[in-house]
Amino acid sequence: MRGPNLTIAGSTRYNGSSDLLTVTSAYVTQTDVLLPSLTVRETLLYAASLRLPPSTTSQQRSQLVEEIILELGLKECAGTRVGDGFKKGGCSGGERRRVSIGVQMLGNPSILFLDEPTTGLDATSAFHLVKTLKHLANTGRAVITTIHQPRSDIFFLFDRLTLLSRGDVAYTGATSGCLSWFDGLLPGGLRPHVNPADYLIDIVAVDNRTKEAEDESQLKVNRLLVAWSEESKSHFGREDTTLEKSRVTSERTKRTKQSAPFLRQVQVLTSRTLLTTIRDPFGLVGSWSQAIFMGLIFGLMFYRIPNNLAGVRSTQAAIYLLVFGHSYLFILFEIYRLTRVDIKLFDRERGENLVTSAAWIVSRRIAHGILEDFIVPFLFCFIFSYLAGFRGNIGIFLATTVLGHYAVVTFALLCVAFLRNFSLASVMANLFATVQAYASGFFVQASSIPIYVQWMKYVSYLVS
Amino acid sequence: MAVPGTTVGERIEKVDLREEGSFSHEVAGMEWHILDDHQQNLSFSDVHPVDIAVRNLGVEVDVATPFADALKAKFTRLKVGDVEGGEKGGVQRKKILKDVSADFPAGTLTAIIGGSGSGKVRVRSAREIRSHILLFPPTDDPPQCSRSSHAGTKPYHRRKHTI
Repeated sequence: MRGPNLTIAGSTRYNGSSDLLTVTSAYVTQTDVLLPSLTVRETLLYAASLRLPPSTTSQQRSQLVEEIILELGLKECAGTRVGDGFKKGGCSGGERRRVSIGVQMLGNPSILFLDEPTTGLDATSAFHLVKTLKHLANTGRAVITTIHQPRSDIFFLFDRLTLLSRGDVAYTGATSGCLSWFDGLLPGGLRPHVNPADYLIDIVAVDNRTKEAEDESQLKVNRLLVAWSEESKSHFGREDTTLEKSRVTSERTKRTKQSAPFLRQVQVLTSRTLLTTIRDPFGLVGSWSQAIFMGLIFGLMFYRIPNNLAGVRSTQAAIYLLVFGHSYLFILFEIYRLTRVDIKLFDRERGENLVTSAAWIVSRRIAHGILEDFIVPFLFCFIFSYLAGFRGNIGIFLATTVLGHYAVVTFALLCVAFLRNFSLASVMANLFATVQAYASGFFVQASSIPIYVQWMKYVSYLVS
Repeated sequence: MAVPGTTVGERIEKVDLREEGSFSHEVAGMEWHILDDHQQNLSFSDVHPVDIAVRNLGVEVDVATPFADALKAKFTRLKVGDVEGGEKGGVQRKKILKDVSADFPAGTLTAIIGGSGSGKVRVRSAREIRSHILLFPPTDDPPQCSRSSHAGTKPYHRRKHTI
């Protein structure tokens, strides 16, 4: 098998099938990607609406969510906002991790992969989390987790252990047999009062600080690896193990990763975006107050532009600000909001085949269309033009500001689509916005721009 | 009836769609087969047991040698990296996993431990080959860039920020 930049040899069989999609599996990433303004229960309910088929009633879904809340010990914080770990009032790190696991559990996976679930948690939360995992395993799932520094009582919660050293296996099998295996190779190696997990990681670690130390430690490690390699042959020598055969006859059929119909995705995502926009300080409150504030500042700066020759220059500058002042700020505002958590959540859900790009974009525009896309430019435009005393058709001003607003929010999305990171995306947005502003004709008469760059006025979203 | 060795496409046809309570919906020209496991029993206590058997699994990844390093290696004849396969066009192969055999039976909690860079996770790959990855479904994080103090003895992973 050969991927774009990956070559894989050997086999991985899930109940005898080599395709992971024939079984349900879920993967919990190392970092939590959750919307901070939703409560734990809401997070799980929205995830359930996306994950479970539309035929399920909302009653059934909420029943399942309650079951998961109980199972994962989230009862105390079910009504608490998830939070982002910085502000007060949100869930603790351990609770957020369990919410992430809960979201994945909604698919009722037979296999649960976790990537360092205890990273960043204190010893007690880590212990409770692994106990939760143990409980999930006891219900019949295969739970596989990588872990960095398990404390000793966590270590003994694991049923099985796979110890890796630079891509080689040093041990795999029951945790109970692990220490005696290494004691046979390195008698007396594990001193009392040493965490066995630390000891195991130590003995297979290669010290690569200096060349000499590296060679020496590599030799030691190689001894262990060779010993296991021999042992491994007797364990896994035959291609067909009894373990595989025992499950092959299972009656289950293929279950693909599912995605809800388009309209349902739009419906769920719109409802979720509406809720988070209203609650998020960078949503409704942020965008409205920004528009009012900017309108006031600009309006007072250009208060009652005099109706004479001197006023013409001011009027031109004011009109430039009307179309560009608000929209320029809003590009950065939108990019910030997108890169904070929205696009990460989209990436995760799209990766899990739960939402499509089209549904996500449509739902975002519907939700923001109701709450922001018209109201925000209207607020700004009304305040500014009233204070500045623009004459003429207010409808034209309004339409221009709304169109400018739409141009920038979609442009911000384009930048984020290219570059997921805030600093890079904002550089890209700045670059294009600046070029467009200069080509707009407010600074240079479009007709006097040299012929070879005159086309720029056609790519500018504001042309005077 | 899932018979090992049958292809995915064959298996879809064998599913009795109505009985399983499934949905198929046309989304942007793609057909999604939605089979429901929860319809009969909306409880997640009913788990279909799955055993995982990994046999002789080896994973190699292409690592792009940074241009500057490749150039330096050319002139100073330094060894560019502890990688197999030699250097061809600035791309080298690094073994992430070598001959791993392990069982992960249903109903057990398994830990994979090891020092940094031992191959625990971070086999990052395109989503389409997700199904072949074993212990390590691909993550969206870039692979760890580990560079030892030895100039040029470790390969440098190509980073990608977008999926």
